[in-house]
Amino acid sequence: MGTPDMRTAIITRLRAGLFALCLLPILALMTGCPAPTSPSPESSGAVDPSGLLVIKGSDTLLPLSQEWAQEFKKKHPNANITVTGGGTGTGIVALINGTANVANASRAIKDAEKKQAEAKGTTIMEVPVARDGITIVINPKNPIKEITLDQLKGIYTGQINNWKEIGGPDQEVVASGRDTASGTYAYFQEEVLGEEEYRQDMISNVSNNAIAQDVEKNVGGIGYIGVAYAHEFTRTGKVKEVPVAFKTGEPAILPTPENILNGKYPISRELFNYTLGLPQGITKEYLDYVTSPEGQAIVKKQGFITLK
Amino acid sequence: MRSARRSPFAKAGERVITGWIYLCGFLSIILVVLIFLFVFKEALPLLREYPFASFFLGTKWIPEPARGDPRFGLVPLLASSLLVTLGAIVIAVPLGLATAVYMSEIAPVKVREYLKPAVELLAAVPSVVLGFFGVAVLASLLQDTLHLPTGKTMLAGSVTLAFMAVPTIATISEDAINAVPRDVREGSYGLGATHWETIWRVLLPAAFSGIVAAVMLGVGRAIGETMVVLMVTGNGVSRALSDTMAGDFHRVFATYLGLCRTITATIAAEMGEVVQGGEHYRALFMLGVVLFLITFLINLVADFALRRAQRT
Amino acid sequence: MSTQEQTRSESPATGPSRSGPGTIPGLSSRIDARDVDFFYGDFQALRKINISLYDRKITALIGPSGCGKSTFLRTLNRMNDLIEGTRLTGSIQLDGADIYAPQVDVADLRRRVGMVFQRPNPFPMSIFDNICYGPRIHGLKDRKILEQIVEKSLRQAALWDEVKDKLRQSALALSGGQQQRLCIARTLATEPEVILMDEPASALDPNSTHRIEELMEELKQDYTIVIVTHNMQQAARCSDFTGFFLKGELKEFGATDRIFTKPEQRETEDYIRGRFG
Repeated sequence: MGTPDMRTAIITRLRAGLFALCLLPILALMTGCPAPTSPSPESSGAVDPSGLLVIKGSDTLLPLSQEWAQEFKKKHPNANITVTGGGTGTGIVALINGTANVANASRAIKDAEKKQAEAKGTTIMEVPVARDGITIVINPKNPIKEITLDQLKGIYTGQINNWKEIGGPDQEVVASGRDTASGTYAYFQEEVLGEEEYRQDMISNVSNNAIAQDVEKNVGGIGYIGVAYAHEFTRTGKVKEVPVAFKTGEPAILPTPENILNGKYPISRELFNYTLGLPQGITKEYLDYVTSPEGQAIVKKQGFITLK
Repeated sequence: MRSARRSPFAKAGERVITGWIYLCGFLSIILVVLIFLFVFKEALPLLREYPFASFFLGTKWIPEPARGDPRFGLVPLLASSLLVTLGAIVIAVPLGLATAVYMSEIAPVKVREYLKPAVELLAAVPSVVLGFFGVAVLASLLQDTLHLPTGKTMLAGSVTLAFMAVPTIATISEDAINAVPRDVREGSYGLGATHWETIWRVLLPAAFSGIVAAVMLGVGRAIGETMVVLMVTGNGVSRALSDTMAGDFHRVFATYLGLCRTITATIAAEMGEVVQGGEHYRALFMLGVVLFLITFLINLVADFALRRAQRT
Repeated sequence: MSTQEQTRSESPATGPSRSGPGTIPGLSSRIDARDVDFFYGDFQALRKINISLYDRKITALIGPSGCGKSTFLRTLNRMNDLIEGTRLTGSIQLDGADIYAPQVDVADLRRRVGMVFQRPNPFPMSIFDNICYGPRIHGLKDRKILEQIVEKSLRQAALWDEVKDKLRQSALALSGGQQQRLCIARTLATEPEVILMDEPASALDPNSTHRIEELMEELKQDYTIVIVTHNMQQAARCSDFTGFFLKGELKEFGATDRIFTKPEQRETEDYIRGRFG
């Protein structure tokens, strides 16, 4: 009420606020857009490995990639490398859009993504860099001893909603997974769900860490995490890993390095680095380093599985 | 006469400054229009590839399917956004108003001196921090006290958003209540009204337009928020929400105890991985258009409410 | 008034420095202030005020700015209670009962001792609701009776003919003079016994001022009125008694005719002749 002055002041303030409010969602869109001004992919074949290398993509590969970059920089002080996560999809999109030189991927590239690159007149080259298993983690209070691929599929597609359906306690299933940008999300969908859709009420998380937290908090929780990451959480007893069997009646297998390397563990995959065209210059030097015995030693150290 | 004594330079300078201010004001309007046009332009091609009705009436959002065609159904996202915001309003408005009344009318001067800056400071807490709080404390608390399978729920989202909105609502409402002239308060007391009657029957109605403004700003902050809802609502579609969308409307209260996936969180989570110009990219921009329309609608309603308030 | 009241009002004021001959023998008083000291924090705004306000008379309080006349007026319905850090000593009695006694219901006191303020302060609601505000908070709900009260009060305040067709419209849309009469009507609606007016015409044009003064003259038939004014002519024109305040003291009190023709105090004369203030 009151004086006209006060009213005008309030309305002006309101208008200003609403103006800002209109911009908010738009800013969210903008910041989500790949920035078009970042470095362009390496084109000149410089001999001296110096310059800028932008690596982006899989969160699973992130810690490994960071250590590679660190060690690589020790040998080549002129190299300037940045490594960020965001998910495999994010990395590949950045590669195609020219804002990254190397995409970290925890799944193979999709046909659609290949076509995107071809439409821009380039091809995407694939370099396997490590192997990885996907650990299935559950809450320590959950007495379930093993799980089959079919049961996992049932849980993640929404056919199984209570642990008692697969011989567990009477406890509602709370399935946690990654967001659609994650390679692990896509890989898991392809390998375990047989390309069926995830259940609509899966909690979608932006990081492995968040999945582990979900499972730690929810007695009926279940999640999937790359082995190297999972180790960090299973070691402290916050979550526990479950052996996985291909079928009912077959032995359930734990994701140990041997089991992953010899193919006994049902959910394992290759991890890749992608480049636009043949790697050259610093990109080539880096990838050579990654696949060298020295680089693979770091793979082992981090809990991933080496290529050979 | 006076202007004749001014130098021509001063006159020209004045004109330049006036022009500059005019330009700035104009620019901000143009900017908004341009941004809207950009978002709209990016979104529109979606309707060429994807049927209009499937977008606005679709009940499933599966942007990157493993098999088959993607589905961009707005309904679960829109329903989530609206329900989360509604929950936040229900919690934040009474709380914010009560805080405002306490600060301006009940608290002793000493308490008020510290309380008001503290509340204002609270309004400046970055939303990510509140998100952390929501996940670490609130979600666990809700899970334990309500015996939920998971604490990442629409309710957690509403409560966290309410935390964000309360300081805004409280401080601006407090300003509005304080701005009610002393004469008017005394008029009420002079007629034998008690403190509470004066607050309830005179101060709040008198400050109505300011309170509306405060609520709109608070709600505006809540509805445009991405990080908090992304972190605490689980970003999925609960069975209760699916049931509600299927027409089982009394399940709507149960949706608060399940996951939800708001428009803003969807944009924030998925924008980073879409290929520019792709269908998914267009669909996200279409979500942006929807958000734009929602805020525009809120703006209109608020304006209408204010105009009405001014007339009586 | 009862004889008891009269004896009370005639009883000599006590205290060491009795300020002002504030009583007139032979008239029945409604309000008696005895040795009233008033403080804003450490600042003493009133000193040993002794005054009686008479039934169905208009008493004008005059004096320069800051002399304490408004402060004194506001002690009569305990409006100063709303200001933090104020303190009053001495006694003020309404019909023989101390209004500062602990058991007094302040809301009820303010209903009995109504107040009209310097600036028109209608509530931001309809004319009808403005008038009904007082009766409603005192528990009246019956629509019919409320309508009667609205009409009666507006007629008493000489506003009825101007607003009878727009009772549902906002009170803020009225002119300043109409708003002030509305505020008077609003005060009358609670059926007070005493009406305090704090410079009620100072924000109004001469025409509206004139109407307010006419109104006071009519209201005098039923109410005890105390008015604070800066306007000497106004005090002379429409009051029966006048009290002159200076620096927190009641310098002189008496019939208005006498104060304006034969003031006893030098300061009173100076002020009335316009030598200061």
